[in-house]
Formats: sequence, C-alpha cells, structure tokens
Amino acid sequence: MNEIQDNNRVPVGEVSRLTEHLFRVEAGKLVSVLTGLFGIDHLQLAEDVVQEALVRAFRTWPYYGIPENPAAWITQTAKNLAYDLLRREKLFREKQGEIAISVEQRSSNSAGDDSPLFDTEIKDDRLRLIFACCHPLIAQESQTALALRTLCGFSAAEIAKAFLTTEAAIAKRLTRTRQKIRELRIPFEIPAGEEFAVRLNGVLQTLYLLFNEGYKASSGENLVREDLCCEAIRLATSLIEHPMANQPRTHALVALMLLDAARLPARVDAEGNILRLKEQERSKWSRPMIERGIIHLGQAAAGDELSEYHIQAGIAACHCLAENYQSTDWSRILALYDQWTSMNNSPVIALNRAVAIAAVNGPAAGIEAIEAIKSRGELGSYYLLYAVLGEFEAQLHNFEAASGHFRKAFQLTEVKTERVFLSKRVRAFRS
Amino acid sequence: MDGCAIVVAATPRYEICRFKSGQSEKIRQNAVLNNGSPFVVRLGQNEKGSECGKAHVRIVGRAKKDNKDRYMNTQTTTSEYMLLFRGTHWDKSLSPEELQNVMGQWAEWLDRLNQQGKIKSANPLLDEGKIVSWKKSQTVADGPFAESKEAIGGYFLLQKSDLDEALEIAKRCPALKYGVTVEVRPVAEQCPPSVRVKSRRIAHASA
Repeated sequence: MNEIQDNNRVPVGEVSRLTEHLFRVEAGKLVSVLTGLFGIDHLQLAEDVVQEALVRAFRTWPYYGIPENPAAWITQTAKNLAYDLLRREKLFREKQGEIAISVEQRSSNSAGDDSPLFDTEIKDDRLRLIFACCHPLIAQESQTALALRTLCGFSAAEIAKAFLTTEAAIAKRLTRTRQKIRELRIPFEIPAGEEFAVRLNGVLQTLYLLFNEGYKASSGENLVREDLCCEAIRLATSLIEHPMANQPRTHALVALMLLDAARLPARVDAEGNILRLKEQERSKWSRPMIERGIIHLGQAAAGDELSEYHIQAGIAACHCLAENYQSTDWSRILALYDQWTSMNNSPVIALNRAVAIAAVNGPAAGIEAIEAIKSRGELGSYYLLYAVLGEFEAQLHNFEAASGHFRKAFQLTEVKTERVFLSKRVRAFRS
Repeated sequence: MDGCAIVVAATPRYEICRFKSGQSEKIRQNAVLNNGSPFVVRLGQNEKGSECGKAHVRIVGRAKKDNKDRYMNTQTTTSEYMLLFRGTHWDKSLSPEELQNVMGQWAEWLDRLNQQGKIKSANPLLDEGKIVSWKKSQTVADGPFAESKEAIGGYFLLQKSDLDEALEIAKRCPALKYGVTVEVRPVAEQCPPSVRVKSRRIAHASA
C-alpha cells in the first residue's frame, strides 16, 4: 500500500471562490423556468426541484471540484430532475398529461439548453413569475414574501429575519399565498396591451417596498437588510433587461435604489451607530453604484413621464453628487420636494420636505413646516418627527426644548441603534 | 540520491534508510524483518508524484516501545481513521445562500486536509441504495436511506493520523451545527486474531 495521493482529484478550494450569491441567483432563475414547465399551480414543486439540484451540487462539489460552468450544471441537474419527475407523474397520473406534453414541446422547441433561445426563455419566465407574485389580488405583504421566496431564493427563515417575524408565520403565509394563486387561477403570463402598464406599476411598487424594507433602519439585522436592497435592485434591473418593462419609470426606480444603496456603507459607524448625513464619510459611498445610478437617471429622463421614483432619484442624486455636506444643493432638493408633495400628500414626505426647508430657510422655518404637519393630526406618534424637531430646536440653541423632543422620540422607537443615537442627543442637551 | 525512507514510530521517531526505485516491496519486507514487529510501511511520493527515486518512506504505527511488550500485546495501533457523516436530510431545509456558504466551508476543510496529506479517500454517497439481508433466503430491499435520518451521506478515510487528531478533524465538520453527526472509527490494521496467532508463535520461538 503506498501513500501516493489521488492525483486525479480536482483541487476543491476553488468552491469557496464561486460567484457570491450564485446559488441564490440561480435558484430564482430556475424556479421561474420550472414554473413555466410545471405551471404556476405547481410552484412548490418547482421550488422543491431547484432545492434538490442545489443540494446535489452541495454534496458533490466539495469532493470533486466545481464544474466548468457551475450555473449550467445546476440548470441541467434541475431540468433532469424535473423531467424525471414529470415522467413518473405521467406514468402514475394520466391526468397530468398536459404538463408532460408541454414539456415535450419545450424540449423539442429548444434544440439544446445552451441555445440563445434559452436565455430569453428565462427572462420571459422570470417576468411572468414577477407578474404572478405581484398580482393585485395578492396582499402586499404576501407579494413581497413570495417574491423573496421564489424569485430571490430566500428561505422562510431568512424572510422571517428580514421582516422580524417567525419562520412558522412566514411559512404559513407562503403556503396560503401559493394556495391563493391556485384558487384564484392567477395566470403565469406577461399581461398584454393596456393592462401591462397598470400591472407594471404594481410590480414597481412591490420592488420599491422590498427595497425600503431593506433600507429603512427600523427593523432586522444589517446584513439581511442590505441583502434585501441588493435583491430589489437585481429584480428591478432584470425588468430593464426585458424590452416591455424597459420604461423610464423602471429606470427611475433602479436609479433611486442604486443612489440610496450607494450610501448604505457609510450610514453607521464601526459600532453600528447611526450617522447623520453631515457626519458620514463620503469616501465610503459606493462610487460604482452612484455612477450606475446616474446613468439610469439619465435613461429615466427619456420621454415626458415623471413618476415619484424620478423625484426621489433626483433627490438622492443631489446628495450623492455633493462633494460635502456644505455644498449640497438644498434649494434644488427643496424644489423636488415641492414637486413631490404636489403629487403625493403623505405626511412623511412633508416631514422630509421640512428638513429641506430648514436647510434653505433656517431651522425656524423648518419648525413651522412641522407644526403644520402636526396640526393635520398626523404623525403624532412618529419618532422621527420629534427627532427632527429636536435638531431644529438645538440649532436655535433652545437646548431644553431639544432635549424634550429627543426624549419623546426615544420613547417612541424600539430599534436599538436608533435609541442609542437618540439617547446621545438627549444627553448632549441636558446640561 | 536514490531515495530515503523515513521510519516514523508511534512515538515520533524517524529512521531514514535508502532505497532504489521500484524497491517498495523490498523495503516493506525489510522493515518487518529487521524489526520483527507489525509495522505498516507506506511509501511516499516524490515531487512528480510517482513512487521512485527520491521518495520518502514513512513507516507508521510501530506499536510498542520494547520487544517484550510488543509481542505480548494483541492490539495494533492504526494510523487510519474513518469519518462517517450521518444524516442525509439536514441540508434540504437550508436556503440556497446557506447551502453555498456551508459548501464553501466544507470544500476548504477537505482541501486543507488533502494538502496536509491526511485524506486517503473521501466520497459522498447517494441517497438511493439497496440492502441485502437474510430472512428465509437472500433478500434485497430498498435501503432505509430515503427515510432514515441516520443514513450515511459520505465519508473521509484519514491516513497518518491518530485518534485525537481524527476527533479534532471531525469537530471541524461545518455541518455539525445543522444536525450532522460524525462517527470516528479506527481502521483495523490487521485482523486481530491473526496478530494474536503471530505473537504467540514469536513468543514461542524466542522462549
């Protein structure tokens, strides 16, 4: 017996150098394609087959090394599993014949899996699945959960972490949503004609909420939240890849996401404390994301459409392009907020506008604007309103009033990082 | 240089002897003849990976310190350990992201052991399988693998190791926290009864 090592073994260390999120991205693609094969009634089946294909990769690659084209390996494995399953189904349940026929049609249509047709097939199927997940008959919170599960390959546990709820609750919600899709016969198709524009708005809205869920500081772990932002950007970008969904407002949404997400790395310090815009180290902002965002903003300007996404992207661009806090073009930001409030009466937008007013016309004008919001009887228990008021009072050297506002804000929020930030502000003005 | 053999005793001790290309069998026999003890001789590889010329020989697993003990003791020391990974369903509930992460850790773990020359062989096992047993006659049944959480999903065969090291390696299995259990078993070097017979014969001869 000699101890010569098995030299045929492929070096396996490379497995850890796989593209980041490869499995997650492939899972999203494949669930779309397999749903095209099985029909949307069998969404769960498609998810299971994809999972099995990834498990097979997981079990063998560490031993034998990664295949030359990992994504193609996973796709082929998933497709083989799907065909096996359908063949078995066909034997045992003749009624499923239609599915098997559609499989045969598909496999004879596309000569090989590497044909260019396959790529557009994926894009079409993904768009169909996006439209199915974001169908108006499905509740908003279920839309985002289902999109994360099917299109982004999140597990119920990961979705639960992002939404601060339990895994069981999410699993239940997903099961109910899949059931609803069957009962309501929600179609797996790209809407045609005028309906397309309306339905696209729904899709954009869901992706916007998905992004905000990740962006807002009010819940969840940092890492998970950033993942949500990335997934929202990925899905919105995939919309652009499809000629029908490639609209100015889609570009505007992508621009807004990129320009906001570019600043995420600077939003907290090393201890995880929240940093205000003026305290952020602007060199930490992601230049490539800003550049991509500005390009999409330019493309969003094609045509005469002006959506709320356009305005938000415009505001984000003003921040991203300012060299430092002092040189921020606040009057342009205020003009954009004016335009936005004329389109959307939301008090939260009005509150943000008050910050722009204070930057242009001084803190007293800011306080006046906030009082107007308060008198509308809204946002009375919104912690940010008091945090902003506190800042304005502090700028006017009314430290006692400032301290009171920060204390109130502190009582109204439960997020740890926010509370740390606010208690610091309270202490700053106590003396 | 024609090559050297390094003899590694159970308590680390190195003996170097020279040998010529293609003499591996002779070295092996000599090791046993010269020392008269149940050595296991393994030939290493040279830089080109073939067993010749400059190869190192490691003789591992000398059981005893002095002759008397050596022949009276019926136990052999082994340098090979089998790690069996039990649990074939734990990964079905991981998310794609987690699968990729754990896979990366597993690959790094195995890769490092390979580089250290600790792996003799390692393979994953498929879920499907059959079990052959005897009831009234030979029967073949589907394996319990599809349902069993205890089924073996893969194995590493370690070489040049000892129990402590094998346990340390097993503890670093990245799937432990997801419910996989690792069974560590020493590989028997010789059939124990045959060792006993041999010892008795030698003891008799020297008496």
